[in-house]
Amino acid sequence: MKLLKIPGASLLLVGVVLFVLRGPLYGIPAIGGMLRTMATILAGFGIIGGGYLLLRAVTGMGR
Amino acid sequence: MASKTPVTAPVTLTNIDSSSWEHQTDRAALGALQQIPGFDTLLKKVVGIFGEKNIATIYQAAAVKVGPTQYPSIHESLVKVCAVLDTDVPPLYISQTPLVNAGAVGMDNPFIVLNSSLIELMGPAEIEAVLGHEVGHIMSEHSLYRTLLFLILDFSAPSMPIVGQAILPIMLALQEWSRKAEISCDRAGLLATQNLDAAMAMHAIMAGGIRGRIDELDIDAFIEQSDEYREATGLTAYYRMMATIGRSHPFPVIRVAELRNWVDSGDYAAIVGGEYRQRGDARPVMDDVKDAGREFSDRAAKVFEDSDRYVNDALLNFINAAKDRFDGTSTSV
Repeated sequence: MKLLKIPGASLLLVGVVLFVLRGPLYGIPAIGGMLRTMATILAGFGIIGGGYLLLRAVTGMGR
Repeated sequence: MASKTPVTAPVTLTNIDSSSWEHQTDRAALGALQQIPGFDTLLKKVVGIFGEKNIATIYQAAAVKVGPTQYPSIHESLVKVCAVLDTDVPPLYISQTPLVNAGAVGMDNPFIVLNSSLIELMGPAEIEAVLGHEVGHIMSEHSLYRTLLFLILDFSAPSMPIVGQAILPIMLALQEWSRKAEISCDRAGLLATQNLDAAMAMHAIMAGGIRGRIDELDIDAFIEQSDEYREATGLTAYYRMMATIGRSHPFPVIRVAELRNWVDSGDYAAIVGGEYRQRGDARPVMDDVKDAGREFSDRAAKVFEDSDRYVNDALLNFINAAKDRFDGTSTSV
């Protein structure tokens, strides 16, 4: 719970989880391709955004 | 929809340079493109040969050219707007079209087109705001790059799928610039009329004006609607971003909000008070690029922060609900 209070941690966590789930999602018949594309876009957003906020909180850059 | 602010004669902005009101992203993009040697000239030649003359001929043939004896009140409005912005009066055509719209066309000999339905819906003050907006496009020389955007949109994506994908980032960047160019020219429209109610009413009418019922249009309610849209968070904010990304024009509610922000920032009052850049006072392009970069970075950080907050709330709610279910206790956060 404490971990989630760090800025960007939640977004990064969701991004990483979605990135890991890309493979299994692709296995779903008929809509797997679409789900994987959506998961990739959202995972990218989560990892970049969460990573940026986390880095900013740690280093103070961009403030 | 009566005007709430007292309307006084607008102040003439002698020798004003368009960079005084241009949005920093618009200015940076235009400045960067103008730095490429020969790019402007080449593009002007290509577009001039294939587009401008052709379009000008069509309007000359199929629309009505406004003048001192042809729709004199509209001509007078155009002359007034150009006098306030201290610029030449461009040719103006009225085109019989049901779509409520207007445009500035051409580079070497630019002209303005107003659709007849726009004139039917709007009062003289709103028409002046539209004319000021279009004169702003001409003064900022937006036509060249807008034409480039429309050429890319028309020819690349539908006809050549692979090329379309390859130039997608360029297209999205041009669309982002185009949206900022519209915001710049909304400011020009406001400066030309110096009537904020009319400048905002113009957007409300474009969004959903009904012929014969314009007096029922409530600008304050439209401003509230604009605030509601801007304050959206979470998934709504994501959908809002996705709906905007491929558009050449910002949504009317965003344009109203941007106009109000600009007025609140004090920049509008400063210009009307005489503090503006004169033609010939060049500002280093890199300063504009730095300003634009800072603005993009702030916007991206805000999107990330909003998304993080939304995901955080969702995760904590999920964890609390799971705890409640398994051991009947709830953790306060």
